[in-house]
Amino acid sequence: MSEIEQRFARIYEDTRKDLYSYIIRSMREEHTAQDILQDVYLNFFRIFQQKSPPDDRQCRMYLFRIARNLMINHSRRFYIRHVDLVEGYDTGPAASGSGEPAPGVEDSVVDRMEAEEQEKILGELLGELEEEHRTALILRFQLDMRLEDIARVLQCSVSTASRTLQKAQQAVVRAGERRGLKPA
Amino acid sequence: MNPEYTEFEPIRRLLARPVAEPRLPDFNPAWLNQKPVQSLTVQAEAEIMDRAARPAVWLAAAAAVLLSVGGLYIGYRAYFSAPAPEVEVARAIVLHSSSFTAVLSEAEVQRLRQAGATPAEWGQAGRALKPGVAVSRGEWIWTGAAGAADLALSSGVVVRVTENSLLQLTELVKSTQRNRAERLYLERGRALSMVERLAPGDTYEVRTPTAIAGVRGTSFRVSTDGETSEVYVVRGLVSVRGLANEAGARDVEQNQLARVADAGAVPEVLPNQDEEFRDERDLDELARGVEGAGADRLEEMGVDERLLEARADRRRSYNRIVMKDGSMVRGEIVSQSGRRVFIETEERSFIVDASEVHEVLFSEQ
Repeated sequence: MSEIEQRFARIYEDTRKDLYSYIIRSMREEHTAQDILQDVYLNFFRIFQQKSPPDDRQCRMYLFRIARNLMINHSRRFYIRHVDLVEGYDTGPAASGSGEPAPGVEDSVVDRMEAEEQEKILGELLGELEEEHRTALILRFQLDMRLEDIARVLQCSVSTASRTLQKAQQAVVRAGERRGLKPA
Repeated sequence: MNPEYTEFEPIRRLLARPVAEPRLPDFNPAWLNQKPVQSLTVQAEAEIMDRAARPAVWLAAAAAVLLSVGGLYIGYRAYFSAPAPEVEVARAIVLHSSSFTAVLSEAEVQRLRQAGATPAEWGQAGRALKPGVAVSRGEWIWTGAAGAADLALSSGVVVRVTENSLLQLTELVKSTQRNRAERLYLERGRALSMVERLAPGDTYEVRTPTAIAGVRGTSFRVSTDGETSEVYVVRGLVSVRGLANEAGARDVEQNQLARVADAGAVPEVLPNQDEEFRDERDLDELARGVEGAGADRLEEMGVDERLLEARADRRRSYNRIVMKDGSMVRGEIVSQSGRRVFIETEERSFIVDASEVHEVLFSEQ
């Protein structure tokens, strides 16, 4: 591999899981998330193929911004898949594990049902939010991003990002209350 | 951040759970030569890469301030020293069109007439008539065999131009009193006007080489072969007269047909025309009904196969538009002007107020 290919490979390895997490939580549909993930990287490679990519932190921020832009566009118009980056991907349960040791069969079924139900509720709650609020919550509480980095992705000041996050928390709690969810 | 916000805690815990990840592929150098399905626009790319020139923003802001001040001064001078402009030019928006249609300038129409152009040459001239295209005052709409187009005028009138027609948007103006005057000239063919709500003071009329039909709050169809003109009233009341016979105007009621033999004639009014025109009203349904039939059968029925294919393609891409009253429309929002939303469905084109739309569920085609 050439030097630039090695650099792209490292950026891809370092960011793909976080990016996928951000996209799947926002879009809630695996195939769509994979399509968008693919386009995020293809756009990124296209932009930086002719010039040297910036430092890793900057690249990560650009990737999240591209993902955000593509998801907003996707919501506005229908999306046609032409290329399958994830060849042979198995959507069955076996492929969905996070690498942890498999528990007993009964526990596994109950846990899975609970987890699926909770994931569904979370998806519905996030789906009710404005895109900016949803992104802020996912970046902060799922990917553990610092406020400064969230502000860079949202392309706003740190204080605005902080206010956005606060409003997002209130909005998602209100959405939960409308569904009869109470704090544990 | 608000660490004391305990109500959020359960959701925070849910968010912190890891997401089930698929087996994402390893990096492949071939991706560097692959084009994305969804590319960033130049503007989006510049914004994402922080390439939006900030000094230009300041320059633009400064220019805007200067222009505003200059504009206020010019406006002040104009107001006190010169009469206000009499009219404001409006435009029509194409809501729906089939193949075999075109928008032509006056010069192009003259050239085609002089050259004795064939229908194919008429169709190739000018620019394509597509949904969302704006048609300006003075421009012509041409439709060939099986061609049709719906246009929305600024007053809310929707005009359907059917096959083998030539129609000019003669006047599309808004006067200083905010009244609209819209006038169409149908040289040949047919034009169905749906006048739902015309504001007081607004006027709308369709002229032919021999007749004038002017209305308010009605639907009517005008047709002409260049000599004899006919006006059929679908709903409401229309005043019809020969072009050169101002005293000879006659009111034509619903389901009546007025026939004007020449410009000086008094219109002949024929009652009970519903049977004769039923086929025309159901033209769309007829076309849908024969969808899937063989090409020979379509030709025999006078329906162009390409028109049906285009219609089927369009239907597959329709979105679901959920209205606040709970009803749902399958169609496409082709344009929006202020609060007026132009919607095209399989059956018709119509306008709704933006406040009536609850949400749009986009097609996943």
